[in-house]
Amino acid sequence: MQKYSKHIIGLLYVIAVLLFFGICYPNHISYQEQFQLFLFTPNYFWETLAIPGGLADYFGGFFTQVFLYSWGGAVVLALLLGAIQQATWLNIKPKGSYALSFLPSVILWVFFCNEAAMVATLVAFLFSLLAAWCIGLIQNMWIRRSVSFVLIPVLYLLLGPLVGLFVLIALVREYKEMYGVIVSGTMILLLVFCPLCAQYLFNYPLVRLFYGLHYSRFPEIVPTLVLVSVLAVAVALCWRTSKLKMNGMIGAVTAIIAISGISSSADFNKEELMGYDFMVRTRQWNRILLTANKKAPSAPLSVSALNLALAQKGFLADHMFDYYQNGGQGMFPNFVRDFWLPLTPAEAFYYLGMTYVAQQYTYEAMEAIPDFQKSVRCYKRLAETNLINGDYKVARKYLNQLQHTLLYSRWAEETLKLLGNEDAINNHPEYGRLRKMAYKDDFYVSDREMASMLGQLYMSNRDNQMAYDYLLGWTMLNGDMENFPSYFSIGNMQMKEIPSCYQQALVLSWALSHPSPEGMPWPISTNILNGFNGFVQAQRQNQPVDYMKAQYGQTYWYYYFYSKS
Amino acid sequence: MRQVHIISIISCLLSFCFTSCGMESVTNASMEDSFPQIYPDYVGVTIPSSIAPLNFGMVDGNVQLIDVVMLGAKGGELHAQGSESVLLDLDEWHNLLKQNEDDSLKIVVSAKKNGAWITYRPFGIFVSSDEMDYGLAYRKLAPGYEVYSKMGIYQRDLSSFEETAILENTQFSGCVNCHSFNRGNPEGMSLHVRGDHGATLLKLNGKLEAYNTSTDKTLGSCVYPYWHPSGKYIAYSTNTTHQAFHVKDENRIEVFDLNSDVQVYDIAKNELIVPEILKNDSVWETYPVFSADGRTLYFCSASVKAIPSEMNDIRYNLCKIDFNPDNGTFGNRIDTLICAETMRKSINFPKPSYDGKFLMYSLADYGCFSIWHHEADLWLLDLQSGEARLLDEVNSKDTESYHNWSSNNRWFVFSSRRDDGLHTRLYLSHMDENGKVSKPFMLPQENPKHYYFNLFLSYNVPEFITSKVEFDNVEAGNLILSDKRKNMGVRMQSSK
Repeated sequence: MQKYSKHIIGLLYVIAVLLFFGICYPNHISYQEQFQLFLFTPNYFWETLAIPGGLADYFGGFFTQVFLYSWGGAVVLALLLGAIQQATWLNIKPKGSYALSFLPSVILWVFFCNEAAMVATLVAFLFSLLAAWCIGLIQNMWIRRSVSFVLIPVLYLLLGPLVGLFVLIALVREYKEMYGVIVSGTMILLLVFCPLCAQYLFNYPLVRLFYGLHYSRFPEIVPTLVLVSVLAVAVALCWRTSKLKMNGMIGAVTAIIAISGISSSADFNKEELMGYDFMVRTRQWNRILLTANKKAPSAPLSVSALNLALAQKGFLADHMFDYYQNGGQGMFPNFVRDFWLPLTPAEAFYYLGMTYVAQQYTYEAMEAIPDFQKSVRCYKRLAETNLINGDYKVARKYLNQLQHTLLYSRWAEETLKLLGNEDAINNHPEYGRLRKMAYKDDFYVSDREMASMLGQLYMSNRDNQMAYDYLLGWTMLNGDMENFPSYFSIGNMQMKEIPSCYQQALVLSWALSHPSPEGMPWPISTNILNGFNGFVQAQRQNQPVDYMKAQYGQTYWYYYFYSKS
Repeated sequence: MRQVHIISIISCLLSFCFTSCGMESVTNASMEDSFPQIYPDYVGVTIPSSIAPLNFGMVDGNVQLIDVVMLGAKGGELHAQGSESVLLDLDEWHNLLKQNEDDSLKIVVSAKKNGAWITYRPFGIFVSSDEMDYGLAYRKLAPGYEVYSKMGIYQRDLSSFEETAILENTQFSGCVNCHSFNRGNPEGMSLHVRGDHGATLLKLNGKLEAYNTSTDKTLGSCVYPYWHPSGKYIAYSTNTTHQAFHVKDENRIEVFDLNSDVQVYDIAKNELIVPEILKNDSVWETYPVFSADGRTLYFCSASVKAIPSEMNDIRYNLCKIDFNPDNGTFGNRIDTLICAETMRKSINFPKPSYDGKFLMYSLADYGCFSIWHHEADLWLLDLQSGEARLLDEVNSKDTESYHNWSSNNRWFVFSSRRDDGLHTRLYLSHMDENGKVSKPFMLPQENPKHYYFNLFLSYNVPEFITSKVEFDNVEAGNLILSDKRKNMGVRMQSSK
């Protein structure tokens, strides 16, 4: 049993990582996949390889493709982090502490709780560890020195500055036996010389060439935890013990670092938002409603996802105030120059039939990706908007690229068949419908005149129920009771019964401008009228907010008087 | 996917066989009376003898093999084959062109489709002895809205396919735009950087300096540079630019100014000369350019309109004002050369030829940014006769906009969206001494079909350069990041 204990512990570690990312953090996984466009083309390969760290970036991108499926990504991360632990152990055994071999991997696990962490980091880290282990197999001093000198610039080009890990291991492990002062000094100089030289070959600032181009999505952020994990390897190399008790203590400390690091770094609020966005992206409308029923969302992005799901299922007019609403932001979050936040509103614009606006938001998000990647999600949507708008040549360009991807090639090939085929597009259940829903006349987008934009969209095609529901929803969320009746009146009057949220808003708008309900022109149900009378009475009695929330928290009246900021 | 890879490998092996073992002979070809549909369309174009090989492919994607025979009227022959594109040998191509200057090449294209050869009607390419400049400098960026990703200013050697970066925004956070040279001379260069590290970079006599061109007496930063022929001044506009987005229009984006003026930078005195006559609140002035003799400043001017209600009524006329380069003073009268407003059109990007004979501009339905207007076309104004004409020889149904002259005025480059309706590409055209314009040809690429189809960037602000731009981008990057800026003084000039 003792013979296999190391393997069992290693395996348990891999399973722990797998379960964490697969169960607790799945949306951080799928989030990653959308911000790259990995192509199986020679051009893509050479272009990726052409900058320092390119090979790590290429493999990182290759692995990230499967992150579309959260368990796929969890498996990749678990295997890479497990491999890093094993490779660390290869470098420090037999005298090093097995428990300490987990520390660098654990720190990288903590690093991966941040969505900016790139898989290329793990690849570069692993390859550097393996290179250091391989060089240790060379017994001849002169050969080993020569190979080390050659490997430093080569690994810098392939893996980026994490080549420093290779140098660190080589020197810490066998400084006296193999290298000595002059060779070690020269190796360190060569290490520093690589980015200094690279600034004349590659158009990047020196500081970025020192801390890596592919380790973080944000170029301005220094990946500190990666540096800490490198230092942890140095500690593991220096701390030589094989005593079981000491190993146990180190193991306990490593576990504490893992738990405290992960719990302080993991952002479960963001995880929730990512989840909503992913469900919107994959059109899981029922799942959105189920998720919201368990815990009502409150951030603009998640509320806008919920409202979109309600609209898609035809529940918006009756049930939008069953959930927390945070104003117009919960329908159309303000546009910000971000690579992710505009994507959920872009989805809403797309389903509404505002394909040009959806196209704009999607394009802007893609262009805002900080490390200049392109987005497979955006390419797909841009192919669709261009197809709907009749820009077939442009759509073909996007689809042609998607043909070279792993997970979208089949879809691209199917969609290519539609290009130029007006009948096929017009009869397509989605593209044909969105074409019919599009604006008839042109004007300029204005997020300050969203009601007008939605109204014109609905007037362009009165079958566009979603546009109508969004118009009234937007008006209610902004508390515009003056205009609500007139917007309501442009709708299809053939409805059997006015949806309850609209009834509530109509009663309120009437009450705000009339002394009594007499003469109200709409067929309001008795339940709604009684409910409103009760609400007014409770208000007059100055009932506390908690009481009002308990009694009327799911009505528009409560939103109007207590929630609307 | 695997199938695609296998096909690629087989294609590579086949290409290797063809090049190493000889070319497949065109046998039993059926004759086609029409010209071949090739991409790019090089049928009947006029080219300089220094241009890079006009490699091309067939528009029809089902063609298995292309065979091209080029016969020089004065001698010489070139024979090549290719699958996606025909790749011509650089040296053989240049030899053939040199041998046939001021005469034509006869191009015979055969295509193998479904195992059978078709030979098309031969077409001609005229080789002009008029020299073209060393290369082009241009910006490449995604045709986006407000947010920008990776972009840069690049230079391209027109006799080969070599393209190198002058400055890319990977070096700093921001965007680069509006590069300008004095008649293509790369010794003097003006280049703007926008964003957190905004600056105007001026390269003068080999020295690079970063300027803050905003002053408290002017609207804002300097935009749209144009060098005075003496090299002593640079004309700039200063614009408060905004964008609006269409909900349903192929033009997608409207770029407009809420305010704009024209000013001239006196390099020796480090002063912006701001004439009061061009600082009129009821008029927008933009796109200043100097005449060939440097004694006139042309610019575009429009009456101020309400935005966005009157956006479609903004119309820029072509105007001019005298300029005295001896003391840097302006005249007191503004003349309107072309009143585009009366045609319900708008003039953008005036560019006079350096011999003083012509002025080229783009004409759109409205606005100050014809680059996004699909109806925009190029026009040519004869400065001697005052006659303007539509350049039918080069215009297409899509956008033709930004253009520039070669240093000897025999060639011009312009950008057009005709390729796919969105991404602007560069086209070059010849003009003889009588103003006769030839059919334009797309900027050659080594494998144009592959290159342009996979390029998601637009070419922007093409400028001829007479030699390679020597630019230390490491120094430039450090200068931009340092935020060390030289301020400009202001010299107001009364209109009396």
